[in-house]
Amino acid sequence: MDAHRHYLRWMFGTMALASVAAAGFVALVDPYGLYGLADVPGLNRVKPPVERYRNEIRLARAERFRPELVVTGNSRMEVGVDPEGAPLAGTNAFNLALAGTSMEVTIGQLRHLAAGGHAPRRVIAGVEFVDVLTDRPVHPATVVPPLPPATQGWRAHVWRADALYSFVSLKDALVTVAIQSRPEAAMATLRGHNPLLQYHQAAATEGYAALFSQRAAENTRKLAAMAQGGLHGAAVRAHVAQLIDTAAAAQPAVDVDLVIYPYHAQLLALFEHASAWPRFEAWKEILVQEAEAGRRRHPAARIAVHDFSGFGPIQCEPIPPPGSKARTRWYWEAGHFKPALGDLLVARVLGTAADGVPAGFGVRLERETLAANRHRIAGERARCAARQPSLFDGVARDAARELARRQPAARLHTAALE
Amino acid sequence: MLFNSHAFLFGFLPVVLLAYFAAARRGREYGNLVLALASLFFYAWWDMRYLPLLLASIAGNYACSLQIRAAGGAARQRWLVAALAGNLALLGWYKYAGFFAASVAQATGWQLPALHIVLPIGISFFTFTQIAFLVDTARGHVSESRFLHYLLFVTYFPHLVAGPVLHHGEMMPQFANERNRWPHFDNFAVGATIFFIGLAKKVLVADNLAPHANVLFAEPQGVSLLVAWGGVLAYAFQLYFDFSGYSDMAIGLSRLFGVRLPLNFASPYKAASIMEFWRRWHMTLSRFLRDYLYIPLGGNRKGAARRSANLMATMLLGGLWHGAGWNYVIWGGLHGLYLVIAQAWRGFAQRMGWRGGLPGRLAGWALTFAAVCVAWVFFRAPDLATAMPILAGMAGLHGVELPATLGAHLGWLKGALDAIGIGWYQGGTARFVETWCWVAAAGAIAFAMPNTQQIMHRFAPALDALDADGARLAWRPARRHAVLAGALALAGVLSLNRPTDFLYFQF
Repeated sequence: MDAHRHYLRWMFGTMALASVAAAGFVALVDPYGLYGLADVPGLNRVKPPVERYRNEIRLARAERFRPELVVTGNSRMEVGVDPEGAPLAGTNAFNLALAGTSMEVTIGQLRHLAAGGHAPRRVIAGVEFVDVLTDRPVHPATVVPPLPPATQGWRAHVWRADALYSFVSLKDALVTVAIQSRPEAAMATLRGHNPLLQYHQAAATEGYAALFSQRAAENTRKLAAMAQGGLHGAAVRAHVAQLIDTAAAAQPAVDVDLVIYPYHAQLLALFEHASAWPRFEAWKEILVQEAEAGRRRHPAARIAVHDFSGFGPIQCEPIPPPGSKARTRWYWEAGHFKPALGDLLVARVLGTAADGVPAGFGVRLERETLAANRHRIAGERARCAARQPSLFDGVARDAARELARRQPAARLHTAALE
Repeated sequence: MLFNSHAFLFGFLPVVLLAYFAAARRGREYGNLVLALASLFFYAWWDMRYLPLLLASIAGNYACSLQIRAAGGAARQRWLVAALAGNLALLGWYKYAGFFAASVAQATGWQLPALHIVLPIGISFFTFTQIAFLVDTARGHVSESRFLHYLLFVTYFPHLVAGPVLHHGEMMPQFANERNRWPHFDNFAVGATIFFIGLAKKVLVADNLAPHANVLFAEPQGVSLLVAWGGVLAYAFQLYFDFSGYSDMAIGLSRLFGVRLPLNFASPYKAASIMEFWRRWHMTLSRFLRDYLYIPLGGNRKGAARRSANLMATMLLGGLWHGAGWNYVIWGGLHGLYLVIAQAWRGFAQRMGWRGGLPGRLAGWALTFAAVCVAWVFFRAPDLATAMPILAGMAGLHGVELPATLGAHLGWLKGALDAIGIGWYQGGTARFVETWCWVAAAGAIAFAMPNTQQIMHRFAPALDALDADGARLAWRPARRHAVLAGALALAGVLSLNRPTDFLYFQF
């Protein structure tokens, strides 16, 4: 009997000691940048990208930095804008953008910061057109329900226990130590930028053509599914208004810059072939209207819409052909731009753009400049198509194939609706 | 409530253990009452609304058992038939009414209203347990008249929601055992170790295999050979470690109270024939189907043709028991067919005097495992439209492809693979590599390691534990084993952050 008693003592003793050791190791290595107990080169200075509790961890870090300027949006902003890049150096900027998230998350983030007394003075918000496309027409009178309040009380902090004491946290701590000596390992900065370092390796082995091609296939499937659909204008209006109101309520003199992403020409061409272009223009118009309305509601605030879409020399960057070892300067693939382009984008938004930024890159949109902007894009498109006809032909071919593949399903869907 | 949750492990279980032993100190029946009430609470935690159903089922069956015992001759049979009909009607309504309505609507084109009936968790297990009790009562094998014991027998929380299917005769003496009124260090050491092994199987192996299987079954179109087999093997091992992990946890938990449950798994993927597989997989269900369906149908007593028909009927019904869908019927039918073919082959081999030896056993193992994996495709796929492309991929109809990134690292080997027709696809490298790494690790554990019962064999872990003298890694209450078990327990506890359902809960 004593043997079993000793066994239990040792078993539970091992559990207890190992638990303390595991939690202590996680706290020391600090893979999520939450504790700041030690910052040791070669041990934990480089942090891996966060896979879970992304928003919670991002906000916890932001609370620590108390940023003056925040960048928000989805993965395009997360990988494209470095808060420590040249245009933002010294501004105490922070990148809150999270891959795969929509504007609801951005609004929640701003609410959270405001509730904690950390309202930023400037918000550079990436707004995503693809998110508001729908696979069927949307009734104009559609009502968008208000966003639910954030979780309050102890439940809002349960993630902290899990981030300290769980197998995944332990694994992430070990990964943190392991990536210190690997310059092209996936990592993310404490200020929220994910530079996609691992893409360098992928681009070197597979080539940029493969990166573009793989993402183009995904985008074609996604947008072809929306070809017969509509635009959720009500959601755009509601969410832009809420974003502006949230930012201005916490900081009346806030600067809000709504950024239309610099989609690569390949993706813009796909918008055309997926019947999304008229919706793209209608969406921009809504953004402009909501910015105007926001300015009326918050006279102390400065609210602007910047259109970085188009077919200029940057967005029309040639895609290296298959087998080529050539590297791109601005884009990883059609949807995601590199920090080099993010720097130009931010400089343009801040009005600090220096040499080398084409005039048509980042146009301030107002009601009266919408038509001129359309002309600009049309002109750029013609020049881009003349330079790279194969890019447009390829998109047209792939889109037609995908749309044809979907036709039987689309007919069935229509029949079911009838 | 899930065994692999903080609420269960750090809330429910310690409280119930304390309450049970405190009550049992006053008397055996007090302890049983606490256990029964705790079991009802455990069940109600999932959904309070189905507690009355469980209690009504228990009360009704208990009353029927009294009537069966009191009656004689034809009256006894009538009571038994009525009670069985009631149980099957209840099970049929909850499990099959929606399926039946949908099938009729599909076959006839009638516009029947859709039935949205939520399946009460564990209904199959508590219904089967009670059917066995009623039949044994009619056969004169059972003479239980204490309602509390019956209530505990049916609701006993370690087995309530996903088995094993219990026999009354093997449980009641244990609930009445005076020794179990007090906690024993040996029971805690053995029970906790078995529980933590089961927890590790579930949260460290099964849950990590799940995403790799899910990817395949979510996007099955045009998959090539290695991708298809990778996903199917991931599912085969996920199911294995999920269910055997649950069974271990149930056995370990029960042992804390001094009660041993029947064995439910005995390394089924090591089986060298499909008959052996079914003697090792979900053993208590196989026992139930054999004793209460196959043998009453005539078993093998009425010739080879009738035996085949009985096997097919048993497996088809067994398949349908797992779920109301044609894919489960196909799965059961396939296993019925496997059994019929295997019986025929065995008869043929015996007539020819062929024993096979080691090569024969290896071939039998490979064929059995492959056949089981093919059948799992139907078990897991929601419909034929999902299952068929996966089977086509497993058969190589979509070729053999590897991730292009992997190819870039293979050097001269890539050229050799090109020469034999291996294709390359973009993206998905990490998924491919991880899938096969997990499959290899799971396979190594399943095929090369002793199972929990063999590891714990010196301490009679289950009621009908197999003799495993000399098994590798045999456990004993030594410091080295305690440290290992503590480390395994810690890994399991650290992985409780995202508790996932057990696959067999849905049956």
